[in-house]
Amino acid sequence: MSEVLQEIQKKLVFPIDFASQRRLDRSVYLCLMIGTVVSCFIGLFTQSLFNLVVSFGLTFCVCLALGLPSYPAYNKQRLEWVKPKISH
Amino acid sequence: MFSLSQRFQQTSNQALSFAIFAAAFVVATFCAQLYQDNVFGLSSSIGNIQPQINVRTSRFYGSVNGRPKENLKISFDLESDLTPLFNWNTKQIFVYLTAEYNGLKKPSVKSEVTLWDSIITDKEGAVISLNNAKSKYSVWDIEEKLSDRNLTFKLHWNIQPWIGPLVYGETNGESPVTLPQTKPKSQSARTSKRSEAV
Repeated sequence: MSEVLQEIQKKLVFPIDFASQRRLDRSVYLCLMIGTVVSCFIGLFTQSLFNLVVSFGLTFCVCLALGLPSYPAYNKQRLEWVKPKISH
Repeated sequence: MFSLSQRFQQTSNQALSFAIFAAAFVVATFCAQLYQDNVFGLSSSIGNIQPQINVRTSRFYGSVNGRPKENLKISFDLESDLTPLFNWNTKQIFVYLTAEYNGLKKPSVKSEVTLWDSIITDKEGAVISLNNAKSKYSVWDIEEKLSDRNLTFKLHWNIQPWIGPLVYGETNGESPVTLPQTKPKSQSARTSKRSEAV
């Protein structure tokens, strides 16, 4: 059973390259920060905590949609592994 | 950020950190709005207080070993506008009318009892206008007698917010009342018999 789970886990990795990781980290942080500030002001000006929670939830969903899938654009700079030299 | 699960974890953790910031922002603006609306200077008018003292011998009314215990009930008028207590973080308000008095045996000890309370859940219900309302609770003191004491009635409020700590306060407008002296039962019975005879 655990072997089956390990196989599934291996298939669910969806890796992205190093440059995209760095870029994504910054953009998700920025998106969340701006989204939080905007949500706070939306809530304050409409005097509604519900609006704050909804806009913050939307921000979180946008960040997940931005970061979770392994888009082809995130895998353009894949590392080229050094090929082993076989000497006879 | 390499795998799907790592990206999900990192995004969730960052979102949680920002959610804490948002909660702090809500609490700060909530408190600022309360001060701006001057909620700690709200006024109330408590009038037409009619105290009624009953002597009870039930243990459910504070009596110990069948010894009579004086219980107080009142009727009162109350006017107050508590709408400034409602802003975007207010869930509900708990309003309660209390009476404060000094002890007879220990005059330095102050006691406070709640006679009436109410929960207000929306801004429309925050304008209180009660006429000849009855107290909800029958109250008694730890000492036997409650009569002949000076009571100060005050209206307190307590905001229960969605996020953040409870906020307590009281309105301006105290009403002092002196409770009447109760006559012993035998004496009042005798006087009524005498009046019947006459």
